[in-house]
Amino acid sequence: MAVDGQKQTVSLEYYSWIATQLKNAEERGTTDHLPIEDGTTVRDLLRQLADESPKFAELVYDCAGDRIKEYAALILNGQTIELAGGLDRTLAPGDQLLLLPGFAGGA
Amino acid sequence: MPYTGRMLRVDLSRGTSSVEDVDPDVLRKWIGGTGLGVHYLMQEVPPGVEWDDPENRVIISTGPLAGTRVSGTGTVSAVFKGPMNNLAGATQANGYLGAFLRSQGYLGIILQGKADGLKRIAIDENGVRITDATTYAGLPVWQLEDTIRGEEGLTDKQLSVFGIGPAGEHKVRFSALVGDRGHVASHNGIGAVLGEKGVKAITCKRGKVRPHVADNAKLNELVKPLFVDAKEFGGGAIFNWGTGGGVSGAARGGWLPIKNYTTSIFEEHEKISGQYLRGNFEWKTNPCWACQMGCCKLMTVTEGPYAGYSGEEPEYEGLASMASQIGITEAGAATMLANECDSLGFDVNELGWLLGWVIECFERGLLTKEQLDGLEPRWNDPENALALMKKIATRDGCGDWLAEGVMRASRHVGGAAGDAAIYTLKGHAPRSHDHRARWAEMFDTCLSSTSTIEVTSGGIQTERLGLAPTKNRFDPDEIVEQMSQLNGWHQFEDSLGICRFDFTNAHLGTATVSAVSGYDIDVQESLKIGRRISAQLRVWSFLHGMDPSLERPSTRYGSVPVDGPAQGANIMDHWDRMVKEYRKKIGFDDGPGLPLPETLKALDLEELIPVVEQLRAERGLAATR
Repeated sequence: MAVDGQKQTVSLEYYSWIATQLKNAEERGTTDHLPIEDGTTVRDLLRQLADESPKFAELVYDCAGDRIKEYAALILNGQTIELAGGLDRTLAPGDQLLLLPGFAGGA
Repeated sequence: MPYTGRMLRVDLSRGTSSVEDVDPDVLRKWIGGTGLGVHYLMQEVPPGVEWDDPENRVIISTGPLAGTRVSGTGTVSAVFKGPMNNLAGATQANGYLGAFLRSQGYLGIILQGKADGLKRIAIDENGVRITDATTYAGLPVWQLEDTIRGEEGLTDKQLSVFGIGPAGEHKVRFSALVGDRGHVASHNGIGAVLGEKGVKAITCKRGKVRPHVADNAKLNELVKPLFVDAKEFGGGAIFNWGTGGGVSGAARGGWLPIKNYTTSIFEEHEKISGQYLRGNFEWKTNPCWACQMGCCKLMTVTEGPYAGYSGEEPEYEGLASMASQIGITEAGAATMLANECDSLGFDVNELGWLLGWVIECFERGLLTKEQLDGLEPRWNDPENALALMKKIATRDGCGDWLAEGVMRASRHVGGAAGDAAIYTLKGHAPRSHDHRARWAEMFDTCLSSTSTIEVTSGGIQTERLGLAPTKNRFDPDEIVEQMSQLNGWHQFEDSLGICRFDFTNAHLGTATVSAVSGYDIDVQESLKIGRRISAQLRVWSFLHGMDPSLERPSTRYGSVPVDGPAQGANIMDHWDRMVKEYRKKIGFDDGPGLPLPETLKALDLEELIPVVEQLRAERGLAATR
């Protein structure tokens, strides 16, 4: 989505391999500014991004299951999304979203 | 023809060794690795045998995939009774030992008895020699490896060398088995058990026996797709960056342990990440047997106060424990400390919890300079951390009580210091995360019978097993459901002789096991085998006095994050209900958590039904549902 100066926006930072895989960016990441409407929820935004990008649907948001996949983790204004109202959370202008790799590894 | 196995039995008290065939029915039931270890543990280590008893066993075994051309198949799993909790440990190491054992015609080694002095167990084409190892006394593991290979005139790709460092020799409770340039079986003090038995080193020369493969054509079809799946899994993170590539994600996600859980914010995380190490230091790949992932590196620090230091690239746990947990912000220092940890022969997880606790207590005035033999350890203080490590490895001065691990050390000091220590009440160490932001891992760590995570990990997802996916990682009901579904998978995986990072696709993986072994194993059968291992280990744990009321985190481990992404999250509000529900879902009673008769029957463990009945009668453990 393009930045529209007339609209209110939230930021979405892609970090680590999420950035390399989805945005062809460096591991240190890249940030998009995304327009939102009144009442846009986290789910609405993720669904829109998944509709636009099959890779986003594969790695981040499972539309059919309505969930963020284990590969990824989403932080909203410094708080993990599950503790910040979940996918039902209504976004406000200026909200900062951070998309991270999920938890991996271990024995 | 299905796969077969021979075990090497080494009696250290008598100085003898023998070879025995594994009954084909036993092999089919327990597969290898952890499964076979748990089988021998139940058969040969009865109640009353404690971790330091000569009658304790260390069963080091691999499985059907080991030594084949499948990527990453040099893995062994060690099963034993360990000193952290005086219960079972099941801990794995990659490298070459598993592959070389099979190349000499062995599936594993059973160690029993206690030697008179330090010994090396040397395996080659001429058999087994138990040789005097007193000249190796005190050697850190890296020097031990160099010394033995130098004496033999063999390279690290010709001779697998595993051993204990000074920590194991001095029976530090959290000492490890380390070898093949940085591979560590770390959990529950296996190093102390080997030190007690007098085993300084286990070496195995590469032989000429080719592991059995039942269907070569089928295996040829599967090797590449299994590797490609592993390479691309999780965005290719492990292939590209190794486990250390997860440090920054963990920091920003809230599950990196920082300064002993006193905060969940670590602004310097990118300075100690795997990406920083590989982007700034010199390195070369040091692959395990047949491994195409190549996530293991040898590394030389090229900047800062430790420039010129060479060793292994620290894995995630090394960076978390030897950097963020103790406040280190310089990659060279973290690399040095992680290497010294391994070479001295510690479990890096417990060492991190211990050092972080000491530093916090010293900073808060709960430990004094006098109690620490004149040392004044601070956050971001690598030299004092190293000095403490050296004292602990040899039980010198304060190192003696610190060598007992953080649970016992914190109880030794008592008062407010006692509440600052991170441990499970059973005694074994959590892995190097802030599990307050990873509830499933904390829950698993505390309830596990393996002395580390038994069910969870990020290495495979529920959806890949055809199971219901996870939506909310802070939902107690979802965690219980997820864990009950995943239960068994990792125990099966640890029975195969393959690295978890090379075994990311359950369907391709089980097809590969079938092609190699000649067994017909699908995902459901693999889960059944894994659950059998878990259930037997659970019963064995009760037989050895396990107290289920201790399946909880310590005060600090189960505390509420004061900042960061999981600020305010409190798993303890849900703990007791989660425990009851989990036990019900996996076919255990919802009280103490022993397998119910129908569960044991479904897992082909009928022989344990009267054992459990007797346990219930003797200990008053009701079969509530």
